[in-house]
This record gives sequence, C-alpha cells and structure tokens, in this order.
Amino acid sequence: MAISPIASPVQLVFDTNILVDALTARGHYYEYAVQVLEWVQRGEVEGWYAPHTLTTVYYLVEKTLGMQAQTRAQASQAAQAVIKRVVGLLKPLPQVGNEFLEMEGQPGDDLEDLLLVELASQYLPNPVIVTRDKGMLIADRAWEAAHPKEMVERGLAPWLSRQKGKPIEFIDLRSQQRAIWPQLQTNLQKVLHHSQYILGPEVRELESRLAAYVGVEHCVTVASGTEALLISLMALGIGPGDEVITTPFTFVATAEVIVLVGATPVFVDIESDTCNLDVRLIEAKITAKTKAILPVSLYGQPADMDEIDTIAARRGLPVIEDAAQSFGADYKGRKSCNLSTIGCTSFFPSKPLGCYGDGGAIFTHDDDIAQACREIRVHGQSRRYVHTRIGVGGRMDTLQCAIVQAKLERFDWEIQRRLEIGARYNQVLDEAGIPRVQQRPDRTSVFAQYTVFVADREGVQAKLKAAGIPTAVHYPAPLNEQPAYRHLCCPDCTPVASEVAKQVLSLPMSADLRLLQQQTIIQTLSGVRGEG
Amino acid sequence: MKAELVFNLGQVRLAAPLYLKADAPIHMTIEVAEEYIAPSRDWFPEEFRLPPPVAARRPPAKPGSLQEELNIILGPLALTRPGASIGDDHQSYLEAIEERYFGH
Repeated sequence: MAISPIASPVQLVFDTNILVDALTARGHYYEYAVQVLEWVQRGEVEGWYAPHTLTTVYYLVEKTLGMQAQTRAQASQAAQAVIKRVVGLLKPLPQVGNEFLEMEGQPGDDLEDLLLVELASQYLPNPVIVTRDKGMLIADRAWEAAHPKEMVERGLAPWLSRQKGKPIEFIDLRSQQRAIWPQLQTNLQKVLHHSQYILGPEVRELESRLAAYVGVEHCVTVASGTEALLISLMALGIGPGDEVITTPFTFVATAEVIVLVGATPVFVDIESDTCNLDVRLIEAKITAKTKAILPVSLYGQPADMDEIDTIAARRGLPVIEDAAQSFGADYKGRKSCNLSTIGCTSFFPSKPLGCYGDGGAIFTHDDDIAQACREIRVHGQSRRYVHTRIGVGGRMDTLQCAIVQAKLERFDWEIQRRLEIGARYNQVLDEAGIPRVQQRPDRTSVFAQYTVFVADREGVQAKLKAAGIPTAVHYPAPLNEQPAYRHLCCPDCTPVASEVAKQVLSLPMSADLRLLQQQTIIQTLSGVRGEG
Repeated sequence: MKAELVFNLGQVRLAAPLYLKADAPIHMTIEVAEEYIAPSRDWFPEEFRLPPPVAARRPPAKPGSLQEELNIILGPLALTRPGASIGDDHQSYLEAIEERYFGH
C-alpha cells in the first residue's frame, strides 16, 4: 500500500467514531469524515490512527454493515476490505502495547481514548484528533481535537498555518521519519525477526537497489562514507609513498583516509563559485607518485567529472568520486557515483539518503575492484577464515540497510523537493543580492547543504540563531590549514579555499522544509545582512 | 410478529436477533411499570436520542472519489445509515465482544 510521502505541519489522528462513520456512511457527518480522509489521500496532510483502536473499528463496522448483510461472512468480508482501503491511507502510531500501564486516568475515563491521546501526544509534534466524541472535544483540553464538519467548513489552511511559529530545524529528520514510519517499522521488525544482523538479506537487497538506481554494475555497502573511501583506496592498492590529488575544502575524512593508507594528499584549489575542485589546476599537481584523483561533489553537486576523467585517463589514473553529499544528483544524464572508476557515498543521517547511524557504499563497474572491496570490508576475507589481503571490519549492518531501504521509498520525491526548495532559495536570494554557491546547468545539486557567502559570518549566524534559525559552517578552514594536515601542503597555496572558508554559511535544508519556513529564513537573512 | 424483550445489564434487549429492512421504522415503544424504574446512571455521557431518520440510499459519490471506491468495495452494503452516538458505539462494541466470546 503506497502511503503519501508528505510530512505536514499538523497530523490528523482519526478517532474510532470518525472511521466507522466514513466506512459505513453512517449519520449526518460521514461525508465530512470522508472528505477529511480525502485530504490525507491527496497528500495534503498526514493521517494517523492508533493501532489499538483497529479491533474496535472492525467490530463496529462489521456490526453496522451486518444489519443489512445476508450473512455474517458477507459483513465480515466487506468490513475487512473497506478497513484495509481506508486505514491503508493512514500511518499507525508507534505502540509497544502496554503503554496503558503507565497512564494515569481518572475513574470513568475511556482507556481507549486516553491511550489514543497519549500516543498522539508522545509521538507527533502537532496532533489534531479528528472526532465527534464530545468527551474528546471538551473545552480546556490538553489535546487538540476537531469535529470533521468544523474542519471541512473552515478548510485545511487554518490548521496548517497555525503551526508556522514552530522552531525551524537545520535538517528535519523527524518529519521524514513520520512520513516513512510504516515501512520503517515493517523493515526493522523483519530484521529483528530473522536476526541476521550482519550481512543479512537486506544488505544484498539494498546493494541491488542502489546499483540499479545509480546505474552501475556493483554496489558494496560499508560501515560509513569514510570507510567507503578507505576501502576504495585499499582496493586500488594505494599506500606509502603514493600521492592522491584532492580538494582541501571538504570534510576531513576525504584527506584522512589518504593519510591512513600511508599516502599523501595533494591539495588542489577550488572554484570560488561552486566550491568544487578547479580542474584547471589538477595537471600541474600530477607527479610520478600520483596514484589517484579524489574529487568531492561538494554540497550535493558533482564536480567537473568529465574533465577530471579525461585528465585521469591521459595519465592512467583512477578517479574516486567522494559523493558523500551528492547521492541522487544528476550529471549530464548520469547519476553521481556513476561518473568515475569508483563512487563513494555516505548514509550519515543528515545526508540526502541517510540511515540512523553510520553507513556508506562503494559503486563501480569494475568486477575486480568490487571483489576487492567486498573482501576488504570483511577483514580481507575471500572465504571464511581465509584472509587473502589486509582488510577492515567495515560492513554496514543489516538494520541500517533496512532503514535505508525504507527511505528509498520516498527518495525520488525527496530529491524533487530538494530541487524545488533549492531553486526557490536561488531565485529569492539572487533577487535579494545575497551571494550563494552556484550550480552548473548540466548537472543538479541535491543540496545536501544549501550554502551562501556572507562577510560577517559570526555576526549573521548569531542574529539568525537569535531569530530561531539554525545554521552551520561547511567548512570553517581548508584542510591544509588544519593542524594535523598543515605540514602536508603549503597552507597558503589554496587561496580560494582559504577565502571561501571565511564566508560560507549553510542554511536549513531538507526535503520537508516548508514554504513558510523557507520564507522566514530568507526574510530574516535579508534583514540581518541589511543591518550589517 | 411479536418480539420477546429481556432486561440484561440495564438494557432492554431482544431475546433473539431481529433484522429489519433498511426502511423499517426504528422507533417502537414498550411499557414498564414505574415501580421497577431505577435512578439513571452515568454510564454513557450522551443521552440517548432517537436518531433522525435517514433514508437508506447509495451514498452519493463523485467519479474517482474515495466515496466511490468505498461504494464499490461495499457493493450492496453501500448504504447511508442512521447515526450512532458514542454511547451507541460503546453498546455495539460490548455486544460484538459478547458475540465474539460468548458465542451469541
């Protein structure tokens, strides 16, 4: 059953009486109840139900239909079919089953109602219980409740807009989790049931799905994005005395793994507008010791991969795309991670496709490299207790793979949303004259970060924080200025990276960022800059 | 026909199920001697009120609407029905549980 990917500012929780009314065309409000359910069906608002109410719904629907049914079997069959259709539109509230043991009700309270309120309040940020139960619609209640007739007559807008004062999150993972909850729960339960926590069936399933999505022959899931880079370098046999050309303007993992295998990172400066590697400067840095080029597709936008591949081919070098931030991006009709010898991504929770811990993947068309990566991630093991090469404990666990699989269900929708939100940021910021990271027309950015350039960064950041807008800096200094890496490269030989690092500021960005929130962010940023 | 009624758990109930056609009158009266009437209880928050009559008909539905889907699934059981109070639902639920566990 396909459930809407939408995560909305309010979440409608359907009480038993409303579901029974809608399912049996009962009373004078059933049409309103059906209409509210249609909002959910169209993806205009989230719809939820409490699993413990389902048997009550079933008994009541069966009994109500039974008044006109010829046989009980007819009523039962119809009740089941109609419940599956409508409840299938809704998401189940998380429920262990014994929550009522912790509840403090008053004598005479309806336990079923209490539990519904308890679950909705615990799990959902802004629940509205849709009911016509006067006991739930009482004044001075601790919960939000509404009669379907009132909702339909007023329309959905007032309910959605009343939440605009809620805090903005830098990356809204909670809304995403609500949106994928049923699939997530199903996937996790499946793993817990079969108990194959390491290299269980979900690992291979995810690898197949990701390989197909990217359009490559092989996908090897690994313990993190860092591990993906490390294992790739190991699979290519890069080691002491070797050099790897890369960018200094990236997360430290990119250079860290080069040093870990005993090689030396050679930093090449970046473009000032995209913040990606400046390909014009690469060839000058290639020496006899150079063994690979490792560009980063920063902020979610692929680097100039064709040009880099051309240079690498001329010199017989492999290219590893660090696509930790760009999974899902397109580059001249191909996907990021399918643009070079090897593509590496990360499933860190804040990434465009993230898990709930650490995870990553390696992509390649090369059978030998894929085999090497598979062996290295399991301690260099070609078969059980036969270690044919040096390896690491670098597997992605089955539970994390099950989580990524659940997220894949709405990944296309999320990418589309990211593109729309990014385009809106671009347009309004350009109109306001606020400089930002640029995107090339022959590729897309999935906006793992949406980044602008500001002069007085600390001041702007503080003012935005005071206005309730979280920001982050990616990254405050190029790696060749970091204490652990300074000796590997002259600290002043990447002037563009040094300058850009003083100005970049990332704004809230995620697929569930709402229009009103985005408008608030842009207006506040414009005002803050104006003050400066 | 005559139907036998029984007082059970404070409710007047039919001794045997009696299924009426959708258009049958639902308002019937019985007489009970005053001396047997006990004070009212607070079991149901809503007082019982006779539901307004609803002419049983197929619920109107626009093409492609959720209601149309429901009508298709329910087939001949897709009919508009009288409303039920929360108390009625509670009672129906108790009856359903009784049927389920006591084999009525």
